[in-house]
Amino acid sequence: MIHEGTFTVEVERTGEILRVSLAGELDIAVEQELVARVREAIAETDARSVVLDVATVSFIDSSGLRALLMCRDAAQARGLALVLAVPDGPVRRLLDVAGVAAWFDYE
Amino acid sequence: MSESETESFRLRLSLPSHPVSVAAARSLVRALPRTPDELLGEIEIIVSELVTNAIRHGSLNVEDLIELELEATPTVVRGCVRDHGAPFSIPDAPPIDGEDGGFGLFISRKLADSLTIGRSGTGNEVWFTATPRAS
Repeated sequence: MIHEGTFTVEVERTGEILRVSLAGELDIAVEQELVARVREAIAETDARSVVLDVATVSFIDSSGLRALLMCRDAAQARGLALVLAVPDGPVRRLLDVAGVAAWFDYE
Repeated sequence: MSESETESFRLRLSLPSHPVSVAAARSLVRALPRTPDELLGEIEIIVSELVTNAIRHGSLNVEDLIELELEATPTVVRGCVRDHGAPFSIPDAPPIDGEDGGFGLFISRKLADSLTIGRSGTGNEVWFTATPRAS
């Protein structure tokens, strides 16, 4: 089996907030697994809102962006508010270039 | 001007039609000499999108390799991605929330100075040029 790229998902619960931190390179090689892992974390939680922290994502392209949108939709389907924690960096830049920054809410 | 400041530097890579090829293609971008970091970052995204596009829409035959070519000159970086897939075009309109597809080429077109698609034999050739932003 070929290694499918490098990324990590860390899930931390603080009060009513589920914080899901993504790190690594978000592209076609990790897209499906990323969405599956976040869906799983969302499915199991009784938290009221989700923070998707992408501060340490080192690369993202349209496949990674699509994965973030699917995470947003998965949270919405469970009635959870999802916000992005996104300081200046690759994710912020791509959201601006793609013109889709308004498609997300922010921490 | 010395010779090293005027010559161009070419890199080529043949990639299998597999998702891990996208990271390998980005590694080739990072190997371009004398290219500012910010421009390298933009070219990484363009190349990532074009190779991903070739994998998603290209031939399923694993022997049909995706070819990546990069050329850095002192003033511009040119690149080309060749595949064996069906014809496609660059979307004019920005992507719409809830609709799939079209993102990658839209983003590439915004980052590149030029982006052109042509047919070659049984596949597509996508050419781009990228230069540092005037600041």
